[in-house]
Amino acid sequence: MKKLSRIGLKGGEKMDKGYIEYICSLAKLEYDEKDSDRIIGKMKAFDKYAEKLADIDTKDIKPLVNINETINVLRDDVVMPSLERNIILENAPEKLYGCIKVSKIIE
Amino acid sequence: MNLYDLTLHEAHEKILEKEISSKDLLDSVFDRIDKVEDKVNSFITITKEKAYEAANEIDKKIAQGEIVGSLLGIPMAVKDNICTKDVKTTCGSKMLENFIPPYNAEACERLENAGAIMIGKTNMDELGMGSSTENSYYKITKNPWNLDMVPGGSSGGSAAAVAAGEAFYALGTDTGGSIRQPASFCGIVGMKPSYGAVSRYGAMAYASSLEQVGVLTKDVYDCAIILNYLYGYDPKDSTSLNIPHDNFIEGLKKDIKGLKIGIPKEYYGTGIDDEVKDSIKTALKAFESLGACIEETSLAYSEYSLPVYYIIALSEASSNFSRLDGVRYGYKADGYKDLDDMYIKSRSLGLGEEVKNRILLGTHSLIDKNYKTHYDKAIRVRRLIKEDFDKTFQKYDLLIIPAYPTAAFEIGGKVKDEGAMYMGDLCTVPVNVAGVPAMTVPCGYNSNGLPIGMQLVGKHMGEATILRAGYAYENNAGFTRLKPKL
Repeated sequence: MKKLSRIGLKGGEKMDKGYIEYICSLAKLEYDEKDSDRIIGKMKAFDKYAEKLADIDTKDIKPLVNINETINVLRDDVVMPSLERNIILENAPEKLYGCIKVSKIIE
Repeated sequence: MNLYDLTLHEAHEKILEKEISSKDLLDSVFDRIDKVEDKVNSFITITKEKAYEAANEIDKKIAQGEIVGSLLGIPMAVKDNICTKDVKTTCGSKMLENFIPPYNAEACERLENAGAIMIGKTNMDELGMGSSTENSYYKITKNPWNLDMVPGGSSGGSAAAVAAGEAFYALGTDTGGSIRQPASFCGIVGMKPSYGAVSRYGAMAYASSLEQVGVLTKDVYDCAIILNYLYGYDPKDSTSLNIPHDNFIEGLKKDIKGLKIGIPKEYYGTGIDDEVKDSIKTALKAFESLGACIEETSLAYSEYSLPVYYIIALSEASSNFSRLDGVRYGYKADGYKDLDDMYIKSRSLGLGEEVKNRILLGTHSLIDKNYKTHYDKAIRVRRLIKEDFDKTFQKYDLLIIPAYPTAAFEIGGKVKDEGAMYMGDLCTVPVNVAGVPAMTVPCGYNSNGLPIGMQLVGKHMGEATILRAGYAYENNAGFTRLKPKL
């Protein structure tokens, strides 16, 4: 599998194999060239679907992100009980010294 | 009469009268599971031992004269994307095959505090993505009415379990119809509450702005009972609303004289099966005879609901499921070279095809060059769709639409025809886009003996009206509800 640099990635204008590889790299999913035509087909169908919305003039319409339009829901700044460390660690695939073990993040 | 055939409220009456114990109900349900589960495949995990321990405790308390609440000692099931403390919660995915939540979802907590006994976790399309329960990593659930048919999805395991008598009721989640469509296919009642009415804390998020936890029951009365427990503010969910509600059971007693019911014409066009239209027509006549006023109306933005729904759902999914990365919990692949490779291998091997496709489409909708035409456009059109519903509900108390264009389809049948499956969503997704509540109620059977359902759609926080109308229909319309012959 070809690895793309994490800096300066850009999807081209054309929906081609390079574009699918780019989307896969963003989604952290394996890119397999033999699947790319199938995925291009799905994306084109999806875009055609999305195009329908172009019929509607929305320049004066505000976005609706949350149906109840609640904003900044905060609770009082008080200490509350949390889960125990050892209980959380039970689900971790790899652990070390009471912590979740992760791969090296600095090259 | 088998105990497993009782409704929740009938079982409660019998416990109250000390005619039966919680253990008797469990014996009956597990006996039923032994007989039919091999055919139906409703469950991913069965928690028999825990259930009997809980029933023992409850029976002791009842013997000591403790007040018996409506749920006390009655067996129920939970969809496998709702966290259950110390019980495996897989979300139908290989990715979470060994995930054991350290806490309960708020919905489970509320039911458990009321003495409900969970007997198992039900099968579902992986991460909620699908509408047939064929897309589970573990098994394909079958429709109890005809084992060659799908039970619907993604809460197909919950619907099949209730219809087959393996549980008295079950929790589900509904992002685009995942409670209402399987309820329709399995001939039971299924409620998706208003957005913000029921806590989503501990329900594994797929599309956070669209989904709600809800319930699948044997009748409308049972649905009102459960909703009384589930409904209400939870400070742990920032989208939960702090609005008081009336007792839903009390509300059932009122009649529906003068209730204004709108029939939006967009939901009765081409593609809706004639048998479905006829069943609903008969139901509408019954509503009229009970004093309701029926009128044709229009929801002009309905056709735009589908692209809006898909763009929002998949965008939110691609963001939400980035947490499935193999680090803190879930599947972690072996043999990776570095951090990126670990993420990619774990996700690629841990997630199924449909999930990966949807994540890619969601990512595609959110990237810079598509953001304006896809996600940003969709959330603006979403406001118009919501306003369309708001305006309609100024005139009507309720809308009635089909739960699905057809009865249940064949296993392996329509999955390949994505267009047909996606079109079925037209009946269910606008409700999620607008955040309003809707309940499926059985209203007929087709010529092959498969159930047909209609949806009662209410205004935001208008569950009481939906339940009242559903209850009036169920008890006075002369429609006889059948049971599957398994």
